Amino acid sequence: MAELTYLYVAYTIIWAGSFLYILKLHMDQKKLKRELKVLREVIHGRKQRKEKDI
Amino acid sequence: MALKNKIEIMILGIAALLTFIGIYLAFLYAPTHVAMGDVQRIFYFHVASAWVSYLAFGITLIGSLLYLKTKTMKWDMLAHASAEIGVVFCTVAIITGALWAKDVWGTFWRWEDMKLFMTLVLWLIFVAYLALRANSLPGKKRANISAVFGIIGFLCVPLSFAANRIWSHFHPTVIATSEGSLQDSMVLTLVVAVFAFTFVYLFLLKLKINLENMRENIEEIKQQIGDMNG
Repeated sequence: MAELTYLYVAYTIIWAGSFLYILKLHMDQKKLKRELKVLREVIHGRKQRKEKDI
Repeated sequence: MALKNKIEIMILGIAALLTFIGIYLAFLYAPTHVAMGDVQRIFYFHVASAWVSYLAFGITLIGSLLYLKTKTMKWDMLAHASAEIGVVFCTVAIITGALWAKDVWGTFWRWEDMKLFMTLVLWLIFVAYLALRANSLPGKKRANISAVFGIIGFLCVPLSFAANRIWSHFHPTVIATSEGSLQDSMVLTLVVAVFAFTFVYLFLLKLKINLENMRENIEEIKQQIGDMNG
């Protein structure tokens, strides 16, 4: 019985570890996409304002 | 759909398919080990994790060497991305190995076993590599130091791989000749698990590199905004 416990714990760690790492990368990607979008909007807005001023 | 995304989805699809086949083979196809019992089934994905960590640190070595030769940041990015994935898989290999050891040896860890010791050293070196990068400013200086660290760190890979052959302690030898060799069905299961995790690694590497590219874009835009303000 003990050996089955270790077997299941090991496979849980393998899949939980892989899944959590993929999830972390996915969350990072979402955060960076949001940041990139905001920064692009900022730079676009500033360019437009500059053109208007000219 | 862009070709880049198609390749990514294809890699993910192959990884998922091989993983499901691997799990099926490990639990339902491979026979129960006569001496170790069912706990030996840990071995298939434990070995696959260890293999991927060696592969990942090998790619870190290549990335580091190419960075030092060309001074192109994309190689530094590759080395870093691969090192991080290598640490994740090395962690999985160490923990699953300890669980197997608890059942077979009666203890989670044996300090006198050089395979375990060298793998721990390897893991510590690359954790230090990641800590070094996380705590220094991006740029050529960090890339240079990381590259040297990555190259020196890789020296532990052959030592970790060959430790049980050189010092022959407790850790079993997987790729053995004659009496120590595995049954055909076990070899097939192991090969599928190794391929499955190799594709998982490729998918993760692609994902991680995309992330690093995005980070670089953000830094460039921030620089542009800074220039506009200045």
